[in-house]
Amino acid sequence: MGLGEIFWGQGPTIRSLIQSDGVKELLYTGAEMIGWDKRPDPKTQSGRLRRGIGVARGFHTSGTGAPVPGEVKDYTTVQVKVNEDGSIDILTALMDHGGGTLDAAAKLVAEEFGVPFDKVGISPADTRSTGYDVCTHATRGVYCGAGAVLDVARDTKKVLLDYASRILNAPVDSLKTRPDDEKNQAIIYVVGMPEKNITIREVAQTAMNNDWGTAISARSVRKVNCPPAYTTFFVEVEVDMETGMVRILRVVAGSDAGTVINPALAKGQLQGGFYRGAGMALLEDTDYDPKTGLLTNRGLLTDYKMLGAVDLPDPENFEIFFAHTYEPTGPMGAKGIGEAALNPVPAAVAAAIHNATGIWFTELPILPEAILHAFRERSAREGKKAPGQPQVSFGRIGRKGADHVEYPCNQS
Amino acid sequence: MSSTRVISLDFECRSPNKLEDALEALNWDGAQVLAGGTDLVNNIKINLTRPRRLVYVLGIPELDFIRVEGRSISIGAAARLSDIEHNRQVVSRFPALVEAINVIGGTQIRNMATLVGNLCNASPGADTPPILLALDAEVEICGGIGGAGIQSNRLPLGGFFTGPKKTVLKQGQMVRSVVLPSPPEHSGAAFRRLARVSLDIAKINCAAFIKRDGDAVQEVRIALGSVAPTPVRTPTIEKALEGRKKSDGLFQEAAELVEEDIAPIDDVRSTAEYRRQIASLLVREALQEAWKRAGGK
Repeated sequence: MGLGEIFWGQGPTIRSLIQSDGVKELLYTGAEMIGWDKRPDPKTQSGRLRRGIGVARGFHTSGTGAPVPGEVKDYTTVQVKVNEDGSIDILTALMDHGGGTLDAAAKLVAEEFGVPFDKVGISPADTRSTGYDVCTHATRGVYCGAGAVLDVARDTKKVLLDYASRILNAPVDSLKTRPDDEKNQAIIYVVGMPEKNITIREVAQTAMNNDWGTAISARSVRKVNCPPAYTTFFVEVEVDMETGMVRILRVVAGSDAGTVINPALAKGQLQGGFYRGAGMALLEDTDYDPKTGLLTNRGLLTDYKMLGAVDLPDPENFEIFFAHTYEPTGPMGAKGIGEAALNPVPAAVAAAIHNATGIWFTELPILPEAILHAFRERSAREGKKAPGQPQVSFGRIGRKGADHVEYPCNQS
Repeated sequence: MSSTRVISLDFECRSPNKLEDALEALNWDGAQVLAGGTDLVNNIKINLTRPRRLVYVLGIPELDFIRVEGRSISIGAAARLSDIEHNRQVVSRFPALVEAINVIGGTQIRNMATLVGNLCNASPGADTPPILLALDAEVEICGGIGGAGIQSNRLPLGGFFTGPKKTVLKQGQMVRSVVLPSPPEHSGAAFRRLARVSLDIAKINCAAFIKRDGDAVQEVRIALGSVAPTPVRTPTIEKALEGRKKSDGLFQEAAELVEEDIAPIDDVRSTAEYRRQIASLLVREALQEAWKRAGGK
């Protein structure tokens, strides 16, 4: 599935034409960064600590927009206005979960107007002052939510340029905006006659003094596309063949999020996605007692273990890169990232464990108990003496090992 | 389900500043010692224990000590784990004890929790009992009030635990201190453990002590946690090793006998099968490290 094909984002109506695709770049660049060609061969490994490299790629729809009204609501309502001091305020119910959604919205508006970033304000929002927003889900924050902010900002800009056109006595089509560092303002100028210009502060003030009104607009925006955001994770692990413990040594994460609006925060999403995915792969589970039906951890975090900083790879061994793509339907070329940053991680870890041990584990989490159990079964099949003691009762946690699939070692 | 924000239990709290007063307050049905509270408070929140009176002992100066007494070190009931792991005498004489303390909780927990509390909580998976058993520690139990004054007696730690969360302590008694005999020359001890994540209770833990006589094992003590209802010694392995000359396969061979001495179960942290498999590995590693520290080759 690639450029020009139809992507099924989520259900029958939520579909999109693929117009940006960084998968090849992600795979080739990542393979080179991790040293894919030099990855070990499980057949020839020996010794207690064995290393393996695995890869998995994933994707996620950027929001649930669609060419026709669908079974999932997806729209964002926004108001953008230009103030008399040349600053801009955004008012929307769009929420930022910490991924930088509203930061991205402010950046896009600053870029569109040429206004310094610190002059773009995000207004506190409540249900009385805002129109509806579906919520920040489905990896829609930047693509749908901040995208709606940009669309409405462009409406507002039209109003502002109309005022400027009257002042500069030039048609709207001849006007452009640019930042002016000295004045710390956005400038509207006539293309080809740059000396004919005015700050947006002066435009807003003139409009107010002449009773033309405020440059403002508000509406709901529904995206008619849902382009796939792609990710690729390369993971190197070390498996202790005697304890079944898996240590993650190195990660190379690549993301095709189209134009990356907030590189630092996008990197953070990939690190966070990996962190959650690694927990899913190696540890986290909500096990129920078959007799009582209660959670075995009693609903307490004391017994719901999550990986800590020392259980994860050193940040120096966590490399991140972005594909050079541009999504024509996205705000300034952007797509989503959030859930795509999690999706392939468990598979990448499982693939790395396979590369180290020769065994595929297909049920999560891949606990040391399951790994040792699989080693023992393999040894029994191969007629070798398994290390340790004869097998005894098979525990609740260990049952997960029963679902592993082993491929013959001579398979290429 | 239980709330971890609310303690829905009526109890009274005493905060004596003398051991005598603490013992008096403890001699009452439903009275329990509160030290660092890192286990007790959690247990109260999830209704594992329902004390009617808590007697806070960290404010008793005569219990807050780590001192050398002749050829042993005595650690008081109010000494925090962080005090113990940074104590010079402890660090130089009992490095393996420091290793076991280091893996307990995080810094905040170790700043509150006490060594005596770790023993009295009597968790089968606690991290300090195996090394204290290997080091041949004793607990000093005191009780008795009224005209008789404080009575105390010493008990080898091996006789202290009676089951999961159970000890020999009776109502009105508490542990005043843990006493560690100084390790003899040519001896070494080591601690090993495995857990789900670094900040966790052990899936299984193990400690070993060896006194070396030339290239022979003169004296050996091994103990494991999380493999039986209480922390346990391993008489079968110890018997097999005592007096034996160290050879290449000796520790591995002996470690494989561990099955005789343990009875692990499945629980939220691991399985019986896994614990059996790993026990011999940890014993072997602890023996090898203890031997090395005893100066052996």
